[in-house]
Amino acid sequence: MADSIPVTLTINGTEYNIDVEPRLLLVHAIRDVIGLTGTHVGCDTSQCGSCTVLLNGEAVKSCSMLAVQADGQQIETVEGLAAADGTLHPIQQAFAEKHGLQCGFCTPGMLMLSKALLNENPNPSKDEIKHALAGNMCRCTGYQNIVLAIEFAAGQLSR
Amino acid sequence: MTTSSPPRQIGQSPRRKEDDRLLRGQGAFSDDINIPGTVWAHFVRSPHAHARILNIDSSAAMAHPGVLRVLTGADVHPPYHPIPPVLAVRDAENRDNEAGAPAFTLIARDKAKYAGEIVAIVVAETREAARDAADLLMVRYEPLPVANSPEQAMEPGAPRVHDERSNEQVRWLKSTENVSSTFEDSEIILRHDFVNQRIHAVPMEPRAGIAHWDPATQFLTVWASIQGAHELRTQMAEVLGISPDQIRSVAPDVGGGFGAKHGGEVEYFLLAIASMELGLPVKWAASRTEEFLSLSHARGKTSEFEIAADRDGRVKALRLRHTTDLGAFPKGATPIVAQTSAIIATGVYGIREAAFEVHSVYTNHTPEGAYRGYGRPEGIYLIERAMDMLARDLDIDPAEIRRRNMIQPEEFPYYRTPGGDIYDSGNYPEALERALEVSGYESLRARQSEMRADGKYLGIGLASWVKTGGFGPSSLDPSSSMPEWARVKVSPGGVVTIYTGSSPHGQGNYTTYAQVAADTLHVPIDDISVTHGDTATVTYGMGTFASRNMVVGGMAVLQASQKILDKMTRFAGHALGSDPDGVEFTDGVFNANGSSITFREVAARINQVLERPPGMEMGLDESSFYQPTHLTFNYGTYVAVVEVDPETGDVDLQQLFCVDDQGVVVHPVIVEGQVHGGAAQGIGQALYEDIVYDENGQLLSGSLMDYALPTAEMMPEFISEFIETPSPTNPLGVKGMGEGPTTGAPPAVVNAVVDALAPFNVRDIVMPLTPERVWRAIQDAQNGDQS
Amino acid sequence: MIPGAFDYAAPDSVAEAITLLQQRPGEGKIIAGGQSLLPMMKLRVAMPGLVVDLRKTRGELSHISTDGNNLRIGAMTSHAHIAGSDVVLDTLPVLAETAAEIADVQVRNLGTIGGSIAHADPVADYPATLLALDARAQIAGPNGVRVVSVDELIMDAFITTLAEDEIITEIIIPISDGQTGAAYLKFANKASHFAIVGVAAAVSLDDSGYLSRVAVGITGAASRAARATAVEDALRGHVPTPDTIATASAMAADGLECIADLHGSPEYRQNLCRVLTKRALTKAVERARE
Repeated sequence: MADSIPVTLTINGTEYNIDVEPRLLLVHAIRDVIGLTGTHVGCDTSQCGSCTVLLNGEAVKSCSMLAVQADGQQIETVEGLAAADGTLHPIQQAFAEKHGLQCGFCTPGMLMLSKALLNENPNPSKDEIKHALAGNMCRCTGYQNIVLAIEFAAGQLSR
Repeated sequence: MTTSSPPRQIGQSPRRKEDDRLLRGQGAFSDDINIPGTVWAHFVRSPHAHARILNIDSSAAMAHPGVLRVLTGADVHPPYHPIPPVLAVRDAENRDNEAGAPAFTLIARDKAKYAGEIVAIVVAETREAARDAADLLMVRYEPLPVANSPEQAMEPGAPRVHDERSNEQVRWLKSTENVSSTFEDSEIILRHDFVNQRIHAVPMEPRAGIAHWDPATQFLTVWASIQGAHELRTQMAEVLGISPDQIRSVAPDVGGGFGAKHGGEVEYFLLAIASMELGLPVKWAASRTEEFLSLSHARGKTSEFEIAADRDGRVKALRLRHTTDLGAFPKGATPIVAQTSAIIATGVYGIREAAFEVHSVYTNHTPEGAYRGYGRPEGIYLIERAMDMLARDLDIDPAEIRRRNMIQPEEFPYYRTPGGDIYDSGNYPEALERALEVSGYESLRARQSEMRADGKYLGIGLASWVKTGGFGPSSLDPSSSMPEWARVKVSPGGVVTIYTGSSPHGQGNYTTYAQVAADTLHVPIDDISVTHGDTATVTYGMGTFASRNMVVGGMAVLQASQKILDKMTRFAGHALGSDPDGVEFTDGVFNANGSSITFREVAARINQVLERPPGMEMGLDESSFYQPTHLTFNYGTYVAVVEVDPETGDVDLQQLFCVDDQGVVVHPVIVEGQVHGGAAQGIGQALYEDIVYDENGQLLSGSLMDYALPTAEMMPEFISEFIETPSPTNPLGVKGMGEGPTTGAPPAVVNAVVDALAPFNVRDIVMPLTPERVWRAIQDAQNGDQS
Repeated sequence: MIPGAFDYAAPDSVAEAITLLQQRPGEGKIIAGGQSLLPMMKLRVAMPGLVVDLRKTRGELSHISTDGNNLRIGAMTSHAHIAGSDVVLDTLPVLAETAAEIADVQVRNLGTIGGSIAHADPVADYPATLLALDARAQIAGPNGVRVVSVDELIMDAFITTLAEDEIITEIIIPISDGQTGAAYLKFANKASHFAIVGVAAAVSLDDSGYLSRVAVGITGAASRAARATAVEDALRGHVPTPDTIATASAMAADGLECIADLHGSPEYRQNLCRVLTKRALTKAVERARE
């Protein structure tokens, strides 16, 4: 076993100082060390996107990154989406409104990807949304309501 | 008593009650659950499809820091038992043959029977240590010849999967009287071999679980990603040789199941055994690679199919030889599901004569199990593809040939098919006509002609389908009626809690069961909560499978709610000085003799001893079993629109129009979501998904790098419409619906692609219709090589 | 999925990284974005003893600029930055088009051009375009800096001419003047989103409308990306028309030893080479004429 390395991760505005083995994946640091289990692991090969978090505002797959690579960086997870008073983020509300989730397992990754997408492109077309979802898999919804939810969220956010 | 209701909740689409938690990342999936002192298991799996296990040397693995225990087949013996078969398996002579079914062993001992079968379990203090030590386990194998397809496995001298028995588990024959003579007398005979390829359910949540045996109390708690906690408890007791009363089984949030998580899995039993051996909580979270190797596959069937018709396209008789690849072990009902798969091949049509021959065969492949539709989609695929072939041969429009053959509305209720299914109700022609209208079928055909003139290949595909809901008695198994249980409790504050044995994993039961209870009890759905998935809080349960959530589980909720209302009415009558029959329940208020008492008042006052009528117990807490008396049959017609690029073979699926009749629609938005999701999975089978083995029985498409799970860009626009013919089999009038779309989509999509390629004379393409297969079909057809 | 254990270092400079690699011969592996390496480590297909992380060298290695004749892209520049870079879009938009085709948003945010080239995956996107554009790679090693063409750098599937202690620092791509156009078209494996076949075509037209330069790079088809020289030779000096393009494109797979996998047989890959070459050339010519 290689020596543990101190790492500082700022997650949803809170700074965590943890010691990790170099091989620890970012997603396991978030889930198992820090205890934020909203970020999920759905595959081994970087296809499914269930583990998507924002790294310095950009969507990344936390299963395809070492925790040590994220040292000193800003991370946002699904737990950080709602406002401090508990009000759901407009993207979360849109997923509820448009039935954009069924089992809810892929949902945290979908929400984080949506947030990054709408930051970059506040008014995406249906095709742009579908293209942006290339790295996020859902087995329940057939994606149509997810796309509708992201469109709806875009409308709400731009009002 | 008379009642008049507030606006009915059934038929409305309130926001889902389950969403808030899931949207906040506060779901509790099995891998999210952590208890102090947990140690980790890693399963070591056979790299060979078929091999003798000569020796396992675990000394190096045991010596690895943090390793607590290595268990192999030699350690798993009585009092531990193999998994008992869920359903009786019939043998080649069509007799009940439970004893003759091979044991579903937990761990390979002398021989590994598929690549991925567990040969050892390494338990260590950390996930990393367990994984690292697994690489140190030395297993010596002697590879054996492989039974690599059911056809090969049935040949004389084929390698035996189970040394003690032949590979064929089921050989089943059924026929009406005049099949042969009808074929002899028919002008048109169409014969074709079809393949329903092996696929994988791929729920996005890989399996995970923790087993915690507490030596002090001799009590086991298991959390697992499964579709029914109670079934796991029952099986766990049998496997471990302890009483069910010593087990609490919990299915927490489950990230999709689609049938594949129905029933206990060897991994969970082995976690329990490891925990009992160590006295520690033992956890495992599957990797996606493990899921592809070991979570059941489905659908693998080959079929020789024949229909006899007249020149007007009226189908008179059908013959089917249906062979299913069981994989290495009999999982769940798979060996006999091939029979239900076969008999539905007469589809929505009034075909009177039919002969079925079914073979269920062991191979050295991953065991097959349930997957959304469980057998029925394969049968429907045959007839729906054959109808299109017949239409082309006779130059009849695919819509017209369906119209001519459909069972007519006046033949309901309870139409009996030659295979013995009893269709409860429906109006099949209405679904067809509606689908033609919604899709603009005539103008699509016109557009197709115009585009062909420009060298573009638009295709339009129809599929009219029917699919069972629930699990009621059928002609194949009159005794098989799986009940469901519900308990409804009203607190003194008027808050309603529903306990159900049908635990959801995406289906929305928190909301839809609340709707059912709300309509009976006139309580806002915000005042109703649903509890499920824990044997400690839910007394009885069967689980979620076979489209049974509403048709069976919902009926139990309705019955328990009605018992509550009956008791409240009796109390109200007493309080208002009236006979219960004189009480009217309106908008949540009991009225009699000009005075009234509210639901909440009854809920509070029924606990006051002096207020109750003599003999009435305090409290409002009722439970009910619902035992279905029939299967229900949802149905529909789907229209797929595709454009094919003949140079690359790429299929652009543009639209899928879905007209579904699932009886009464409880929550239209949820039902539409089920249509999208079910159809998406059917599209996956039609175009993308394929479990592929090489010549040694090695799984080639064993990761999401190679198994093409549909992404958003691979999906069409879904246009969903409902028609409602209530089922006469239950008071809710529901038919179940989760598996219908998975049944309807594959033939609609394949028919559309083949239709697009009619100018090239392409007659059939084996699923999945990958770009290469489509391209090759065009090449072959142009070379005069008819597929 | 847990990678095997390894030692880890995140040096502040390329020079320091090279020293670290020299100290552990046979064991070291560079991690840039990690989007190829980490999945392999999770599956334990790769089990390096030392991982040298270049994340602190972004100051040195993440940049996009032009020197008038060449576009220069630092090896640690992410696919997303290349896809969205105004400099790239102004000078060699086909490179942005190629970067935008890679995998998905998340992978493009972390994955780097240097990492992709060093990994030499035969189904990666960049090589088609970089070959068509005559790109070169600048490589730093213990003995200083060398520059080689990408064509020479990539030897075969997952094999390059990089020494163990060498690091790609920059990709250098000539910017052609005049009437030029280029296009990258990819037929993707629907599971992995990698190319079954990807074709980049780059053309220059002279004042009379004749093709003065034609370059076709093909990835995915064979064990390494290659130029379709027969197509280029057939078209060079001719006026591109649908007929001349179609005739030349029929030679797109000539000399390629197409690979077979679950997603395409050699014959199918050959077909895709021809079809995509025709379409990419047509698009490149259209763009050159715009």
